[in-house]
Amino acid sequence: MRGPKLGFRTSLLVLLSIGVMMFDHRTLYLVKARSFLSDFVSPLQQVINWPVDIINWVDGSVTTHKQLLVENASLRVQQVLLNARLEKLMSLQKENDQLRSLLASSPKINTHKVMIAQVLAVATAPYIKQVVLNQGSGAGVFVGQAVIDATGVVGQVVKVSHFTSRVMLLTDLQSSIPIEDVRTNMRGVLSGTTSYDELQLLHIPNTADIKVGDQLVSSGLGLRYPIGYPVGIIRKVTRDPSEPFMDIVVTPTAQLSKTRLVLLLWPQQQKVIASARQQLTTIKALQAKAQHSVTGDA
Amino acid sequence: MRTSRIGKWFVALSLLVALFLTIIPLPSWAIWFRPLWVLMVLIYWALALEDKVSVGIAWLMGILVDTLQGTIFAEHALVMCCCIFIVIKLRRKLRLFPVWQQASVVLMISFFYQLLIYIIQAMIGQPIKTIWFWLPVLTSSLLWPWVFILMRDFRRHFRIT
Repeated sequence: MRGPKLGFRTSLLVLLSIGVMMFDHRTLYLVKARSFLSDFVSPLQQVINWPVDIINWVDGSVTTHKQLLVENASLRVQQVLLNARLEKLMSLQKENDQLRSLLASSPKINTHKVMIAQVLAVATAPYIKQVVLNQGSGAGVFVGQAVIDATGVVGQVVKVSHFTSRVMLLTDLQSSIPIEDVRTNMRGVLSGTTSYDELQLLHIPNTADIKVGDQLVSSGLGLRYPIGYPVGIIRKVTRDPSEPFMDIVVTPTAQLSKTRLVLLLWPQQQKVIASARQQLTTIKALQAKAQHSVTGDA
Repeated sequence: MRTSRIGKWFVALSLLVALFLTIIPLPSWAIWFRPLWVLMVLIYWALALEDKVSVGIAWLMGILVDTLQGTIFAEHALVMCCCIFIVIKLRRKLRLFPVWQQASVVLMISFFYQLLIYIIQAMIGQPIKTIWFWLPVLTSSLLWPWVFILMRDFRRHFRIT
């Protein structure tokens, strides 16, 4: 008696699932529903995170006076060192801006507002590389926002709900970030791989000047990530003459799997777009010039 | 027979615990070992309670798993509901099987589960390339006897039918 009814219900649910999946994959209509459900399950995530918070709290409250003094002293030293470096950076920035104005290119834009977020100690499916943050649209987090940590770019926000948000790490297969090589200023696109601590630099011709140990910083051309933040270091370069492009493995500089505190950035969108446009026109002008000189020589 | 109030709460609680176990952080060497907790608990209730826990609840749990894990919407829902459908179809036989034989059926069902996930992930352009992905099939079936005995004792203690 229950047989056909059960089969009917199952096939209905299967069809519904397929419809929902296609909707979720192709359109943005389900964003609201997902965000609502994420808020619905966020207490679960918070509860899972409690032990970590409690351990941190206990760890903080049972440190001895002596330990605190030692830590304080080392932090003081660190602060002096960092201050000194900051002074140097400020003067360099000024000089850089002046040089740029001489070159008639716009100064690099500093991002506007920064907020610290905590990575919740919550597991996600191991085959997608995402982390959950404890800040959501309630704090102004938006989809596409860049996330960095103390050592480099972490990734971008892909889903937000009111209390939490999800960050796609740079190592995710779906992730790509426009970069430039600090040594040669060569631009490229850095993509995620199936591995956890590897990125790959795509479509770099065999003849390009790239060395192991080169630093890569974000170029800001995608208008998503800020300009000039460290992204990775070249780990391995394989040149195969039969292939048009090199096989380049890059280690991300950010501690993607260990990081606990990250920074969310709010860019000055208009300025960034204007600056990127200007950079593009200068590049195009330079290219045209180069083209002209080449054809002129021939 | 009607399920008592305690019974309903207990089913809900066990599913909640399964969700917790799904998102509890593990050290990085152990992430691929995580058994398919929600599927196992659902299989147990589909076997034990005649028709209280069926494809509908499986679908809802799948949606929750999707939300928690950040996978595409309705992926786990679809897979969960298909697996529970098979379990209910085989229920008469499965209930007579000894526990180790049930474990081998759980092995096959969880393999089917992972296979569907694998196919869906490939179809949406996020293919899974590591062989570790199939490890939960083993851990789930190895843990099944313990889950089964534990749940059965609880069920008998609370007289949930």
